Amino acid sequence: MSIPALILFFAVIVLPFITGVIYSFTSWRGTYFAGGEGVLDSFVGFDNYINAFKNEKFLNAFGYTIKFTVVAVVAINIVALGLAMMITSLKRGGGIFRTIFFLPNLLGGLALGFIWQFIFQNVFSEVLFGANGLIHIPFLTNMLQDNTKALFALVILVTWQMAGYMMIIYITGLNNIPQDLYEAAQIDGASSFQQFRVITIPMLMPAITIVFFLTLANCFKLLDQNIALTDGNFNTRLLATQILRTTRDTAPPDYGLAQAQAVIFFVLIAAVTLIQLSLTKRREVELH
Amino acid sequence: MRKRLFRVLIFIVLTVLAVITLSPVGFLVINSFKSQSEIVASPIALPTEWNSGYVLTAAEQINFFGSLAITFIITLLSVVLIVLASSLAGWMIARAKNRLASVMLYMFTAAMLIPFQAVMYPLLSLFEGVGLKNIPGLIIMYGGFGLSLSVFLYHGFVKSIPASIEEAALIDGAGMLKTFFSVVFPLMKSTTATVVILNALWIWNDYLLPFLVIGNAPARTLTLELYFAKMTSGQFGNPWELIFPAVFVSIIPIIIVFLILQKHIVRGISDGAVKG
Amino acid sequence: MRKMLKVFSVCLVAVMLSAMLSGCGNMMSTGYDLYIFNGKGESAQALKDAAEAYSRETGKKVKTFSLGSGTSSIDTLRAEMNSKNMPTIFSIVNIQELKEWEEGGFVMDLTTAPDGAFKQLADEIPENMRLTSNGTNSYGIPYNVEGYGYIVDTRMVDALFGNGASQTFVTDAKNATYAEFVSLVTAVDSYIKSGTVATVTLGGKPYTFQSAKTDLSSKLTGVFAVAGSEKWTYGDHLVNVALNAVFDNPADAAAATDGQISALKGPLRAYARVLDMKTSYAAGRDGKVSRGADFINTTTANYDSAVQIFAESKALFIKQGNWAYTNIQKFNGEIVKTLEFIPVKLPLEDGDVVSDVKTADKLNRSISVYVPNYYAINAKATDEQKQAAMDFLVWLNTSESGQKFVTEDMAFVPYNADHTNIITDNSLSNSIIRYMKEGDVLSNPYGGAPVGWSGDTLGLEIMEKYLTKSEWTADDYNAIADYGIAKWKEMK
Repeated sequence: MSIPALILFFAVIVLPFITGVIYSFTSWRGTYFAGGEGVLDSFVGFDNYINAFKNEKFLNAFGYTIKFTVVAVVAINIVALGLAMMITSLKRGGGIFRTIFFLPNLLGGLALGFIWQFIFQNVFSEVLFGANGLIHIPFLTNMLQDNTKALFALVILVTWQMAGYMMIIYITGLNNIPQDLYEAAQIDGASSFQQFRVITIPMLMPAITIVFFLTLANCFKLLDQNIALTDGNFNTRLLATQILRTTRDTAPPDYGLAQAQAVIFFVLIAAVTLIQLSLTKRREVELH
Repeated sequence: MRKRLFRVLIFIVLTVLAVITLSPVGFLVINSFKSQSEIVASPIALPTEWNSGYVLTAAEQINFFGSLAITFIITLLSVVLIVLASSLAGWMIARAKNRLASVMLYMFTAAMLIPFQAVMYPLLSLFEGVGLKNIPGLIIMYGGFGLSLSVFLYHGFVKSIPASIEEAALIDGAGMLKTFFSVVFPLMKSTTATVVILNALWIWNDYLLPFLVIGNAPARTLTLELYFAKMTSGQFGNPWELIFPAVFVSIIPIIIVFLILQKHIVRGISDGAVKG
Repeated sequence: MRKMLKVFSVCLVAVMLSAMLSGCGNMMSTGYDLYIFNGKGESAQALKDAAEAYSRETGKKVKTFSLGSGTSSIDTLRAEMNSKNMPTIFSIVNIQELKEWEEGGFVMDLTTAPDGAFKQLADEIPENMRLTSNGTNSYGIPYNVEGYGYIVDTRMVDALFGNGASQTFVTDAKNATYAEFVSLVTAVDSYIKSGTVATVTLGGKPYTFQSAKTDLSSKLTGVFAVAGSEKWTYGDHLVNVALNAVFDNPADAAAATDGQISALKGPLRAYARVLDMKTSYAAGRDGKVSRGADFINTTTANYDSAVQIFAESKALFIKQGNWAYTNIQKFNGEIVKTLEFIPVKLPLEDGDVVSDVKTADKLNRSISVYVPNYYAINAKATDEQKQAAMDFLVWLNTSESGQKFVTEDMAFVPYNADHTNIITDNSLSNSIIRYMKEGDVLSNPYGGAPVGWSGDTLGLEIMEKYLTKSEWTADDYNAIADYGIAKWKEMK
């Protein structure tokens, strides 16, 4: 039954990826193999991997990606869960809010980056938080011109984009919690916070697992938004951008090196997300 | 009384957040009715006059209805392919209690993490070799890329429903496929809605893959048309009076589709709530 | 639920069938004699029209595919080169981009072409415009030339110095020294601020401001329209003028010795001073703007906004090229009729100019004119395809009908314009042609600098560290020059 899926999967992902891994051990240039006729003549062993770890831009992007992902995953989860809890507590009107918060998921493409540049450079820097703005908050001005501020600008953008979707998962999770649990807790005199900690969080574990996984994977792979906001200026390249730009930083384009970076990148995120999955899963099991 | 006050407060907070969430969309809308000099000079101001000429010009320049049809067909077929392949696979993996199944799940999950650039050129060469550097090939590629997340979601859902229902059908003598489509698939409505929306959005807005696969063909998707329209106006400047209205018209269909499907998502979610 | 099954199978069959059909389609025939991959998006339609006209004349079928410059374009070209149906003619931007196609064996050396019209066309490419990796080979036929300098509106010159002043101003400004140019800039600045009437000397000739501002000259808010967030304007184009003091063409720059790179110290310092001067007198929407965070704001200090400021007569000069013509026209259809180029001048000292063929004077009266794109012929194509490619390029560049497409439809300045009597409808093109005839043109050595050195490294450093800083000192000039030199040596 899963044969169609497996065929698709092998043709589109597995075969090209294995080929890609092989190429990461060669001096592949995108359209040809340097130093010989075919793949074998062009074999360079682990050179590309060694060079990747010697590449300052790659190491920078590595660290920046991890920092960004940690902050973004936390922010998206808090916002998404907060929205979900607020919406489920409403008697009416929840549907409209859900639709509105989901809407940013529908937008992509060329204009989005420009819109957000305006928001950060114009609306934030002048109208709202500038020296003559509504409230003067220096941290929120010129956010795209500083390594740390740009990280938070990117977090704001991805939270806007992803929180709505994650919110829907949390709403489903919250609706699945039996109300009598809360009623019983109230009779026992538990405070709202205690109820949240003892009932809501444990019962939400399956939803949390999915949301964490989705946000982790999406944040690690973030590319378009990074290019749209800062284009990697001020040392703000994320790993996906770094891989894409490696072929532009070098002439002839060093696809072997880019491919090696991609493999390292894959191993990293695979390790992190799989560890995360099995950790949260274990918690789920323990709680049941 | 206190509870009511609390609700009103939450309502206000949500309204403020909703306005903030919508403001970028509003920005897109107001700038779709302005001239280039108005956009560049005063981007956050309302248009001095609501001139729909820019929207009409943009729609014409990106060959709106033609490219809409192509985008629609590509998105539709890709999503159908993804839904069918991944729902079956998700179901099988969740029900099979063997090692192979868990290996497969991990494989699908891990594949979500492969950066597109890592498979780009090998994938294109492979597909070109079998004569699939065209729209059908593009659909198959989307099918492959969309699988991972979808299998993951279906698998998660199937785990949460008891196997007893399908077992009854199987005992009654129905075949596997029939059991799946008559018993299991209808149960997965909410997940299907989610899978459809997620994949449709991504495929609708994607530009790199269509570029590489069908970039030089006469039939173009909306995003390709948009790119080509932008390109003809020079290498440095941005023709905003074309870009904003073009993006605006190209997201209208997806918003309409979303608003229609939204009911299914809501129903799916409440179904889940009852069952839980 | 039978229905579901049906839908499923119908869909699968449909996908498979169409896959097979189109697969066969691909194999049967390509349906064209020549496939051109064009990397200059602006000329997409014109090239297509030219190809159709060519088909009508010769019966050969030509397929064109155009993409703008940028990442997705080069990715798509690479994908096409990996494919069975490779383009026979494709475009190459500069010798950095040439490297991969040369190493991969994708480009035909035009000096090896068989005798005939094409060989002659290739041999006649002016030496400094050749796409060459070692000085003897030649890998491309130029698309056209583009040029840049300070663009000035001659009506504004008349408004400032009285009617008729513009007739001599352009020549005098061309021949002016750096010091004269700077005194013009500061005088215009105080005229804008307080209407101070002064007399400035340009090329030895005096120019006195009108005592009363006109409608036009009172619009001025600053001397230069500057796009601080566009690294390429100062990182690539402005720095290129300085590189000309040491290198005569991209190939020179690509083969730079450590000694030559070190010799950039003086020119790069001069470059930093010019940039300081330029950015100290920048025009804004409502008044002068100063360096700072807003100066590199991507929404208000980008190419479009700088062009708009100039088009609305708020700045006297904008350093841009003839490609800006249509962008300026979009904002102001009148101003484009009266535009002229004036050279970007550098405060070079004796000894800064290492190049044998240039002097500081020559640099200061020349504008950069260079080939932005080349047509290359795919060496892996069949002989038949190559011949079709050569025939087409000969037709495009020598036949009357082909040239008409180049100068009118594509609105290009032909690379051999100095030998012709072309006068176009485009004021900036005409200005470039005049400089070419006078022989006062500089090359584009930045195209031979290490990949990413100019815009993405030096330009980035300047944007991040200097354009946000209000005062620059001599130490800053030195630091900028040293940074550029150190990075070049490191990236070489």
